Amino acid sequence: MPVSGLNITITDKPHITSKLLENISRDPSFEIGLHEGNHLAVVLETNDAQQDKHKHRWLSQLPGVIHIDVVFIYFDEHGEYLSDSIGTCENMA
Amino acid sequence: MSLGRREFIKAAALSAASASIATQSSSLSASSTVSLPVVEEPPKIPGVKWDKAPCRFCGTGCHVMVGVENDKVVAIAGDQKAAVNKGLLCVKGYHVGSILYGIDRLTTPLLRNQKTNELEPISWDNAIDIAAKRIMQAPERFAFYGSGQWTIPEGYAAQKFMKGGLANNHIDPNARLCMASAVTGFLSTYGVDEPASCYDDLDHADVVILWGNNPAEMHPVLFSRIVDRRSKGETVKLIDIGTRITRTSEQSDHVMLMNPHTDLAIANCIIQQLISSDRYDKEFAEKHCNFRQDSDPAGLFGAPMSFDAYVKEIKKYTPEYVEKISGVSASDLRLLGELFADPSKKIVSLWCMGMNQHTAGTAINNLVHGVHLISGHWGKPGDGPQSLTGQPSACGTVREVGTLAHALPGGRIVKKKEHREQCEKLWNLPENRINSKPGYHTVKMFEQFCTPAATGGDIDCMFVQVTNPGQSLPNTHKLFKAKSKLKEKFLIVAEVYPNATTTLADLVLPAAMWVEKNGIFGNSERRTQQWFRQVNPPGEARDDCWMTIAIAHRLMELGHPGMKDRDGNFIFRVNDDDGNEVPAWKWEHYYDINVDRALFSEYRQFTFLKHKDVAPYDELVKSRGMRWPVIKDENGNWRETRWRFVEGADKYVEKGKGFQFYHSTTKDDKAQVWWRPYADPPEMPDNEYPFWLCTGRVLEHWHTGTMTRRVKQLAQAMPHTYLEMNASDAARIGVGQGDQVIVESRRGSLKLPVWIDGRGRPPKGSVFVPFFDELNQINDVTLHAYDPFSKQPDYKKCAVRILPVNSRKEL
Repeated sequence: MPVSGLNITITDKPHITSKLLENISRDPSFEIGLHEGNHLAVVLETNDAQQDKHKHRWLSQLPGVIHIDVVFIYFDEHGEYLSDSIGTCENMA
Repeated sequence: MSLGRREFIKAAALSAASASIATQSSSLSASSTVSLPVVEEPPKIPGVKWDKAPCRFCGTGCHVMVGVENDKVVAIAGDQKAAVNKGLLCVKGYHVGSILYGIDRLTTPLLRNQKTNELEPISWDNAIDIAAKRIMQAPERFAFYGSGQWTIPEGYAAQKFMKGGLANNHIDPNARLCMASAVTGFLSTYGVDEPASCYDDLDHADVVILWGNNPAEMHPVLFSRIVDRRSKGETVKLIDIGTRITRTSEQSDHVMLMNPHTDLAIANCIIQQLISSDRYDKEFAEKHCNFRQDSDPAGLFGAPMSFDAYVKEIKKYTPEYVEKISGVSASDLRLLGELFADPSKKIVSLWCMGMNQHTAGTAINNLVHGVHLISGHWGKPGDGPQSLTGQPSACGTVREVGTLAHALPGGRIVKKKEHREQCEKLWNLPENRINSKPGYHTVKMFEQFCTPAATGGDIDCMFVQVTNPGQSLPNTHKLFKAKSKLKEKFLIVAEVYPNATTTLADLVLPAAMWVEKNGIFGNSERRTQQWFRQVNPPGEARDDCWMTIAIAHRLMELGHPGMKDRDGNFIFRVNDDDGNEVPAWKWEHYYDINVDRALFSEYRQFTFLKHKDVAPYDELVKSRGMRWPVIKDENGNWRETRWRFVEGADKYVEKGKGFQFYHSTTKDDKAQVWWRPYADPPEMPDNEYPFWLCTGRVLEHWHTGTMTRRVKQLAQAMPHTYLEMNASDAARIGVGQGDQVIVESRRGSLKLPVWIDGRGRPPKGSVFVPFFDELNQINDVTLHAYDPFSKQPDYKKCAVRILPVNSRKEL
């Protein structure tokens, strides 16, 4: 279950910002923290990497989001991952 | 995981995010009234121990806090204390911990069985013995290939082993393929390498000009500094001069799409306008600049040129003339000219591979420096040229330690007797140990390795550390894959994962990486950054530096005289506090002493000649990196330097000088403004191969993808490479989104899916392919023509044709 801390650069237009905060707070995966000027602190907690990716994409496409910086990430489990398309292992012992 | 622990982690995440906002608010905006406290301590999670490290990927040099539990990296946080990134990280940076844990980590030495062609496990003792004996067979036919991913001590050890030990200069790095043209650009302009400016400029500039540079994807944390200023209402004009629309273009005020290679004409056009309108900075030019042109025969430092002769040559580069060459409109060219003519504007030029991977790379580097020098937009905060690097220690290890075929540590070169003598003295070597003949640069080195000995291929054995030339070299059929047919050639590869290079390796040495070992990097703004080992490497993986020392010691045992200094001691002798030798060549004793500290302290002595004084190791331990020259002040504090050659900022500038280029090639404290005319590149589209091909990186993957393709999130976000194509070209040749095409050059071909109007959008007649994908290697197609001075190949342009195939792949 990945947990990430995000620093989101947001628009300075108040009517878009209030709608944005409403959108984010409606999703239980997100927890909103400090909102200072054009920056918003948010925690994202998801079940797996796939959901994490989808939530990031959703967030980045919301009106009013200019830029997302990830400043913290906790890995419950590491990927121990091998892409299907990595092909040189057959040459190894 | 218990709810309580989960809540702890969430609280830590929220605290880190809030702290980063506080840090940004307090440090980036001068007008901000925010007075939030900057939280500098890492998040508290029970059982997790935190320590600093620079990120493992690009040359930006972001610092991360690494959370370790039970000998495993479990969390990454942006480092609030780090001036480079102020707590922020890019998508690669926050996954950096996962690169250690790909399922196929190499964990034991492997030797290729010549009968079965399989790699089989062997012991470390055997592996070191085999490597040493292969080198001993013909030390002069051995080559060492590394990269800007070498830590400074690793590169220093490799450098000393080759040039001080084997008296062999065949050592070169992957950085030759990344930033060698920036090096020759700095050397021929200022007489000494590396940027005079720093990232602080991004916080002060009114205008940022991106010369073939896509920082939104390649250096995202630096780009976010600009985005952040703009989001606060500051005016920062972004001008993107490039050959395709990128994510950076999308946020730019002006996008100037140029024909490939014509940046030379554009830069000349800016200078032409300044001179013809008499609005160049006469005082700066007269006091601080000379004019220079090519010599005959051509040489890096050229020949003098009068200002009148320079004016005469550049006269024809009017906006109308350059519009025809470059495709950039005369009005846009005038806009650039007007900006540089305005002394009230602060202008930063940023560049990386777009200017460096160029057959005229030295020339375009000279020209961009020239634009800033002659306009006087130089040496003030927010006003100057700043080159970036793609590897984490391209500056620290390659440019400063000098792990290049012609170089010695600290800006010295093998050709100069006094430089060789200085090194022999510092290394306590017998006189004339160091060879005066430069070794092979990268392309030549691999050409010789992939040529049969019987037909002149005089490199028989090669050791590759911390890089993947099997995928990153240009024209790989010629420069790498040809090795597969040459049984007499022996390739030793130290690696963390199987990759394109290990595919042809005869001996594979499993390497420790990043926080599995001690290290020091040097980033793009002269910042030297230290970290400690925080977890153990898996299985039998070991430090690259140890491998070099162990092979050197075995060579000494085999009787190689170069592995001893003039007193008969091992050249890598390290002593404990009592003066007793520590057998660092034995792995079980390698961490009895801090070998990094010993090597760095020795290396530090080399850094004073060119005024690149790095800080003492123990000062680096306390800091998030320090920008050299680092000088001790009258109170005994070590002070870094933000702007070189500028009075008040650089302690080596004499009082009253204002600016002083104290390593000037003309010995008069002046920089050189070069006359560099536009000339066509060696290969251009024609009837047979009608498209330009440009190659590069993507946000999710770093370099050849060996590490990032093992991170699930990154691999899934960008699973395979593709070919970006303009919609009208696609319609013309009858291909749609996702259709497979063959991209073919005179050197090779590759089948790829087409991406139309995707992340990047090339103009008509041009295609782009990222090079991270091991199974679809675009470098089978690229050209290995290189810049005559830097020997850096051009990956950004060659001629290809695109042939439709009747199949489709999901993008």
